[in-house]
Amino acid sequence: MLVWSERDILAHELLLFAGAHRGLLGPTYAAVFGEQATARAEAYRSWEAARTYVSEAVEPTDEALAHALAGLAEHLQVKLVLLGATRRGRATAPRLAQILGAGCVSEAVELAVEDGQLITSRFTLGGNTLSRERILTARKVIAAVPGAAALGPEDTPGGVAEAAVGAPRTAASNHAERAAGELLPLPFQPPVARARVVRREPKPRAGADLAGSERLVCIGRGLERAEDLPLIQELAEALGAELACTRPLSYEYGWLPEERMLGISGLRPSPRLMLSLGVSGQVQHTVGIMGSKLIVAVNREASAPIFKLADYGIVGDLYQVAPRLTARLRERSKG
Amino acid sequence: MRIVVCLKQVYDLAQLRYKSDGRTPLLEGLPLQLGSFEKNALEQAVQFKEAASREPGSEVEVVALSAGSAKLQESIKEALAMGADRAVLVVDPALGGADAAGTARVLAAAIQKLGGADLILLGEGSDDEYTGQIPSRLAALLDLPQITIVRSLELEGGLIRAARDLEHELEIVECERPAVVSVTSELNTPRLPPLSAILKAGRKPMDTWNLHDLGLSADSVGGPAAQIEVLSNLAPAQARKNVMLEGEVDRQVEALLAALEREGVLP
Repeated sequence: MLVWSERDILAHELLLFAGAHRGLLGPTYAAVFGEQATARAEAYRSWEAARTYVSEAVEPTDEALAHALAGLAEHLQVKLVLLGATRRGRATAPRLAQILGAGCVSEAVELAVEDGQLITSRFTLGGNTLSRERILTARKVIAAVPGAAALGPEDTPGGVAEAAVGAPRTAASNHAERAAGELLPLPFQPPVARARVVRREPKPRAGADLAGSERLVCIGRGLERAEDLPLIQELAEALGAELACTRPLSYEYGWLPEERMLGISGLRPSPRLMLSLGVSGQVQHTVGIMGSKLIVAVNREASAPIFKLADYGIVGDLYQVAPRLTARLRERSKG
Repeated sequence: MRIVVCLKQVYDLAQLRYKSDGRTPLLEGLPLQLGSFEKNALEQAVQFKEAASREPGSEVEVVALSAGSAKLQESIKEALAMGADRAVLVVDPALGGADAAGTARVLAAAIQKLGGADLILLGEGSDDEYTGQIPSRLAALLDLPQITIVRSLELEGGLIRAARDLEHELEIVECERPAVVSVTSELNTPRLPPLSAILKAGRKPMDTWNLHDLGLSADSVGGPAAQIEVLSNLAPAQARKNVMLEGEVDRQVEALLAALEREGVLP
């Protein structure tokens, strides 16, 4: 099988999975493309890849990436190409699959081998259901999100924890018998790129770390004015939480930066507590909160769909609930 | 210049119900509507058309294209009301079993029958399935460049310039027309068509083709050609507690605080 991700940490996780299932999936190869590819590829030598193909000349567009990976898949006669489901990876995978005549799962959240078969799971129906699927074609393309291919403790002891922090393993740690992998150039000319990347603009970042936050307070359209935001910020502070929001508040009204936006086009974090205020619960949003361990919802409308997803619900006015909760949390932390 | 906007009719998931097991989705009878990302794509096409109409000698035709069941008629009228010039529907019972690869083949064949397009616009995924495979597969089938996950889009002569909305950056990509472009909901705010446009929509041309018209067999794109077997599709087993905290607001807040304490989620 062949592994590629623009994020080396994710490639490492996929390679560990590939290495643990070498019996089913065959020899493991990797590809490293783009800026600094040669330097980055050094680490891959110790990451389960028998051979790593390196090129700095592959344009990072979906089409060029798909043709480079398809060329390698043909050259190596591999049956499975595993990609990291970054946004770029998710868009590249189906083009690659179409070239290879392969079935494709483009955002697997779980990857497992059961009875000698590769089984994927992905969210569907707006994030409401988890679809367990098997690809029927001889060739397969899968793009997996971070954590989807995380190995169980029985697979390779120690491998997962190291994958999580992205620390390169030494070849000696688990596979003392295996020599370090080879680095090779692409065995063909890089594909012609009809689309070209002309510029990159970093997104503005205010330093919020929603993905790593234990508690989130998410505010929705129930907030009537931007001037009322301090009410919610104070609650978040008293709760030791980061502030998050639905799409209308960031994208449409511009009250909060998009890095705080949860949902299908925003973040999908997994906090221990999600306190949702004035959020109705449209599916495009709820996809972003499904991963929360505990969900609390406050909304004026008893019929709001958010309550179906909530562990605890309060039908009430956030303008009354938020300040009272803030005051009580402050008392608690003093006492 | 011709812009083809590929549209999908999606389930209204706000009304999704489950069987008595609480996990098996009940899709039968669930209302269908025009997908939200599709409206962003269509809005962009209509804006290009309006911009072209202000420049002498340039003209844009917007074709709304969709494949599925006869129920498409209703959703496609909304597309025509939003400003598409004409609609092409591929309606065939076999399409019920089509997966992303099958649907992409049908759309590609329909675009070829139309005589091609200068720009093909789609949503980056659908509200219900969200496989997000159609734009990339369609571009491969038509051998066109693709720019995906686009949140702003410009046409400059024969050049397409788009900003891709990646995790930490916007990536500005250019290519020549024709190309396939998939868009995000951040691209624009789709218009709500006025009543007059809704009334006029019914008089716009609408062609309905079947698989035979496209030279495709049911077996080559429908269920028998599916590349994916769905083993199960269920709501996650871990159900939410759904405890409603009753009473006056002070009592509700006290009950919540106690619950949060009990769950061990407070700092």
